[in-house]
Amino acid sequence: MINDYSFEFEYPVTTKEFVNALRANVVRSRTAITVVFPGLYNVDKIDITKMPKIEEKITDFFRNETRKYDFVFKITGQPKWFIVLSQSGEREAAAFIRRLNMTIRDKGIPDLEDYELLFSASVAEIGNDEGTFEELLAEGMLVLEESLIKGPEQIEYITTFKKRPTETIRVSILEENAIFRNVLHRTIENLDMGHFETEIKEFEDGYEFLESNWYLSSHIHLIITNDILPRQSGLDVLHKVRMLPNTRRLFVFMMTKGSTEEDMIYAYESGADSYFIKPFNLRLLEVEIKRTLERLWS
Amino acid sequence: MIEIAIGSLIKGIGVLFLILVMISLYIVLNNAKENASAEKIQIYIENKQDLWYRYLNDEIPLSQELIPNNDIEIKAIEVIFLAYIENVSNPTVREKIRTFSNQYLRRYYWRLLSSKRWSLRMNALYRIISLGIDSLADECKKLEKRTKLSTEERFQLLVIHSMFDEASFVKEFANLSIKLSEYEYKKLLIGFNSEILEKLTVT
Repeated sequence: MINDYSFEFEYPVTTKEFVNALRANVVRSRTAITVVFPGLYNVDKIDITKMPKIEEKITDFFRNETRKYDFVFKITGQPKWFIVLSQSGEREAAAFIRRLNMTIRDKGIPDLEDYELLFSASVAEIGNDEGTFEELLAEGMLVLEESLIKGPEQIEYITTFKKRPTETIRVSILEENAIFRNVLHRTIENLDMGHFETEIKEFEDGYEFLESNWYLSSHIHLIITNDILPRQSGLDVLHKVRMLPNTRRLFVFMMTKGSTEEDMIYAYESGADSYFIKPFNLRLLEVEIKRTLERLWS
Repeated sequence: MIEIAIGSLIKGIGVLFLILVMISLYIVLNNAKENASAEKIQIYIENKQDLWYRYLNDEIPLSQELIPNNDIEIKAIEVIFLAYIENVSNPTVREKIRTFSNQYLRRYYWRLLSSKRWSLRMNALYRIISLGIDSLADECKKLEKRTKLSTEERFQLLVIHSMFDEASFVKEFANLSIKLSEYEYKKLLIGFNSEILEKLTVT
């Protein structure tokens, strides 16, 4: 049904292989892609004999309106398309479709200005690599039909492929006061982190933490540490973990009771991601954690 | 040469030895008592800190289990509350600690305020400030009238006065009877809003 999209390589890459490779990369890079299925609404008002030429012009128009890292495919024999918007969620995709419709309304499609062309679309955000290419295509087409039945300039969303895979993250709490350590543990434990599961461990000081191999795993790791600790301080921990390879998976939130601005600047320069001055509102910590995790997926 | 009968010397040494034994016994028993109290406090904290978390964070209403039955439980609650106050600024948590302290810890601190021991009175003053026990403001004013008060106590009373009765504190501040260090002035004035600070400057 779909044209093969052949690169000028020795081995041709099919659309299916290409899209599957993109989808596999979604999980690894934590970057969603969205597939938009636009379809021509008022197809019955167009002379069938002129259709191939019109479809070609529309395909060119879509290609001009997308970014270099987006990909446009034409569905053979039907006035329907398949556009892969890499690095975009469904919100960006919806904005893209609205912009397309607006451009068509205001300026028209080049060489097709005499035609009143109206589109509807279905949109599928892909957040995991589960399901097959065929399933994605089938559902995209089915929902596009529903969208076309509803009328012109309609957008219908497909949520089947959106769910992000459950990912385990590690959280380390380094705090001398056992009661506050427990408070932090409970606060993080109670936090709704969407598709992230947490493994939380408490440490009395930097020495106990650094002696453990807990932080050496490949997990995303949130380290919540007081600056002053009995044996090795939070800053010692910060320096040590920032020397590790793949340090971007580690997020360090510092807590302090009486640091100066210079201390805070030094901590930020050394790689701290956030700084909380005690006493602080636990809600602040919660939103900071949530925002950090949200930013992991783009 | 002074002559002391051997019998008297032995008696003297015996009495001193007895006193030493009694003192040692007292110290050992006292230590054992303190250790037992500390252990009980620790057990209370371990058993109840999750319940306290849930109550202070509005997950559950106040349960009968949290109302203290004895001084050990009060001391344990004090440790928990201080850990929160030093680290957490959530308004709900602060207000719950203040309300609970006023209702259930008031009598305990009132008793300490009336104590003849300076250290107990000072502890009570510190806690009244930390936990915001404004229901003891009048008791503190009565204490101010006592003549035998240390400078430290007078300063803490001044802090309490500034916390619970800002208006009359402004007047009192103008006629301070004790000398304050720069640090004490800073500690006293740091929590005031600009309006009060302006009044104090004019005064």
